[in-house]
Amino acid sequence: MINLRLMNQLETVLSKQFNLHAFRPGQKEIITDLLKGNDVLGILPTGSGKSLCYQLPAKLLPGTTIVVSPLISLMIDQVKQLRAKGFKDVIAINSLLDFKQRKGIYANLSAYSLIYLSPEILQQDELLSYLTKIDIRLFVIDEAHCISQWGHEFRPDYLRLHSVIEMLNNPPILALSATANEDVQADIIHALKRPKMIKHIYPIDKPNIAFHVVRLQDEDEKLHTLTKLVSTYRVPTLIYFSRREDTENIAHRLATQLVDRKVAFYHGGLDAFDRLMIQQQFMNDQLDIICCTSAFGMGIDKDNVRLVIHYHFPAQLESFIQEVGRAGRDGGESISVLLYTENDEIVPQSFIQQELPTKQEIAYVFHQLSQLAKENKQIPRSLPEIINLMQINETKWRYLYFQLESQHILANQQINYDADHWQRAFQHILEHRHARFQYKQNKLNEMLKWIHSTTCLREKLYAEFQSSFQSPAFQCCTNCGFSFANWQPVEQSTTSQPIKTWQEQLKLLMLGEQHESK
Amino acid sequence: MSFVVKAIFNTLHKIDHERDRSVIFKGIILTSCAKINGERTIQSIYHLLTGKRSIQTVLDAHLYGLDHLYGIHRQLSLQSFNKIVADLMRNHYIRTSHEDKVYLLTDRGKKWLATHKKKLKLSSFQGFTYNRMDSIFYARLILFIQVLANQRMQHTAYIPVVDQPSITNWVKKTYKYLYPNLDRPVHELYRELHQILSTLSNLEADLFVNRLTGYKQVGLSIQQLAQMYQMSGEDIQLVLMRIIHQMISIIYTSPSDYQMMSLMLRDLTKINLLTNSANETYKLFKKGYNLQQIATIRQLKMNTIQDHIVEIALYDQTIPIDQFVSDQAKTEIIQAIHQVNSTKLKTIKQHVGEKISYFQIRLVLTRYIR
Ligand SMILES: Nc1ncnc2c1ncn2[C@@H]1O[C@H](COP(=O)(O)OP(=O)(O)OP(=O)(O)O)[C@@H](O)[C@H]1O
Ligand SMILES: [Mg+2]
Ligand SMILES: [Zn+2]
Repeated sequence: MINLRLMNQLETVLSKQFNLHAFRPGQKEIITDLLKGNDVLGILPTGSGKSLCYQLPAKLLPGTTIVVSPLISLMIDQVKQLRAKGFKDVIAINSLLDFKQRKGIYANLSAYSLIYLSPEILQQDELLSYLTKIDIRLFVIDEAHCISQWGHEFRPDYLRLHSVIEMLNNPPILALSATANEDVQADIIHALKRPKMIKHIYPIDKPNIAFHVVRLQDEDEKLHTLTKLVSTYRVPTLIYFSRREDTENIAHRLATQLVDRKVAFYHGGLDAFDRLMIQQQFMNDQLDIICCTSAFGMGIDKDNVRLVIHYHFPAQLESFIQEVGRAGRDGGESISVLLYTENDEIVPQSFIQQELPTKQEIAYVFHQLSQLAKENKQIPRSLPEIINLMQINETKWRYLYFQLESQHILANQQINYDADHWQRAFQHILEHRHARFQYKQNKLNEMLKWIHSTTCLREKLYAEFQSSFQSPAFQCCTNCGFSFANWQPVEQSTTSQPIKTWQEQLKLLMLGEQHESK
Repeated sequence: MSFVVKAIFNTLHKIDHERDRSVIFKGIILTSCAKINGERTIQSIYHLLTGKRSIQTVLDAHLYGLDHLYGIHRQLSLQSFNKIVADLMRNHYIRTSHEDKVYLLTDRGKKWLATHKKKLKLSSFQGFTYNRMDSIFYARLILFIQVLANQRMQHTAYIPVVDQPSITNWVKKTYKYLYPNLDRPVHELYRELHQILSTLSNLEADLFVNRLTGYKQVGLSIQQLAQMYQMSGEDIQLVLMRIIHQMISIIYTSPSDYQMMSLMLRDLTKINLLTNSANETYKLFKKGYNLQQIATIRQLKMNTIQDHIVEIALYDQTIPIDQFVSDQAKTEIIQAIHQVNSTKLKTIKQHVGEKISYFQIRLVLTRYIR
């Protein structure tokens, strides 16, 4: 009953609290179902306003809404933006908080209407004990494809979410994604153990983005093409790279060659303060071009990005759709350009290899474990020690740890030795590893097939997600006759003025424009 | 193939640049090596620059006349530190002796230092005196500028540049205290900044202003400043810190000229800057509890409480240490210091009787500063 009353308030809250005038497709439908107490799986395109589907209920409902989010930077970002909009009772709990800050937050948990968390931190007993004491009305998993994409390897805590939800008294669940095909959807529903979830699936194609693939001879030609492209079009541009050092090197080059453009780089290795500054400058039109890794992506919401260039392509189409989804969020004409040279797949290929242990490595870990078991020892507590002992990288260890745990060989630090069982478990893990490897390999092959495809790229890109797509609002793709000649975007120059003296700049910065002498 | 070659070329190119771009960082390492003259390990310089809170580091800083460089780059990573040391080695500015543990200046290093000394302006640093208060002052200043500038334009939807609660709370409190007559404070702060920046070099003022965030104008990141001024990130950080020290010093000299900025310094006394835990101990100590009682109340080890007392004694020269060290013990320790002519704890300990503890030696040494 109470919810009926809430439903009449939806439009009022939308305009009064969010300053928006009408719901976008899907939003009201999803929110209505949630308020009825149903579980919802929402698949909507990038930039369509998925966040509102939980932010509005969080405002409306008594108690607290929990949002599980995959990246710390994304979480912090969303919290900062909400606070800037005037929502003060919002918080992100993550590993960056120190002990004292965390204590302070825990003591006052029920005061927040919206709490962002990582799946990993949800495994901490202390936090859980506090969470079970407060009134949780909605449990959200944003970017829910991560359950399927990452859960099986290095973020197994995604697969443990269902037991957390149970402990929290089974509130309604909302799972959101822009890139989940039917398999992934099934995987999400299965992992959350909510077979009755109501699906709200909308087409995810973006009619305002054209797709262009350019094949190039070698690295030199690629660099040349890139430079020419960004010097021709002065529009907010993102350039994606696989490796951090490439973002730095190419940003440096572009900055020297194009003196009238503001170029910056962004990757996970920068400190949080500088990362935020770069992102803010871009939002604020103080930058033209950002050279970035995939760390700059998910959730980034600038409305007028016109050009997204892939200097390197990601290992699967889903990531590509996510990254391209940064473009044209205002509906304006935008272009995705993928620059391809032969053998570009070597890098994503090597990433896949680094993510999964080889047979030899698995065998060695079993060997080390049996040694420890014979000596009645546990596995070391600290990660560096383990990595040193097992001779594999952290990602591979995390994968193996989860596998060993599900085979009951490991429980925390404890080793349970049983020769026969270990034999079988070894085979089992090996098979699992091969299956995952094959899966990833297939994903990469799909990406490559798409790049090499000779038919409509738009159709191909979305084929795995839906049976049809809207007709393009502007140009379609390379294979349907894309031409740069037909693209004349409005020049968007950065607000950066001709270089000022520090005196002028200080005045502008503190006292504002009306004091500026012309 | 060509890509690999290019990558190697790029790295070489970068290293070459890095060397020239880190003039101040280099100058600081060389100056420290020169003063320490092989009597301490190279790590002690890292501890000095990052401001390690240990009695040995603080003592050494004073002993070798390097207290002005104490804690001037707290975020310095061990990696960048090792890298510059390796660079200086490779280019023969310093050399090792004593099984690679200590570093000495070469003639080349000495010559470089002599020619660059003036330009480095290392004497403008006041690391120990302004320890920790410098970064709090700076964080308050830049957040306050952003808040006031946006408020003036009636702009409320912005993301604050600083989000440490201790800083944001201070800014909120001060803001409320000044409200609603904000026009005067903005103009006053603007005037003060203008005046204080005018005392710096043009480049310094420029760099400082470029880092600031105001109304619809986001400041530049360290990397961007580095690119703009052709300096390394480390040098940018160090120049910023040097500017902050210069500013604090000017504000202290004529507070009436800098009323707004004095506000940002007013409550920042040394004793307020103790670690939280030491501060808790200090409170109990002032109430008259003895160390054993404090350890019990706080459920901490005796050793930890003693560390706190040493830290407190270091910052507060007025607290009496007699209750911990008898006159006789004090004399013995001082004699030992003179005899061995060293402030190395181990060496002194070997020279005094069994009954005298490390704790007592450290306490006496705190009285040797200044
Ligand atoms: N009903 C609405 N009317 C107008 N604008 C809206 C509406 N709902 C959301 N928006 C705006 O759309 C933009 C994109 O929203 P949001 O970041 O939630 O997208 P998203 O679907 O989560 O995208 P991504 O998949 O990239 O994370 C935001 O700037 C938001 O303010
Ligand atoms: Mg989103
Ligand atoms: Zn097409």
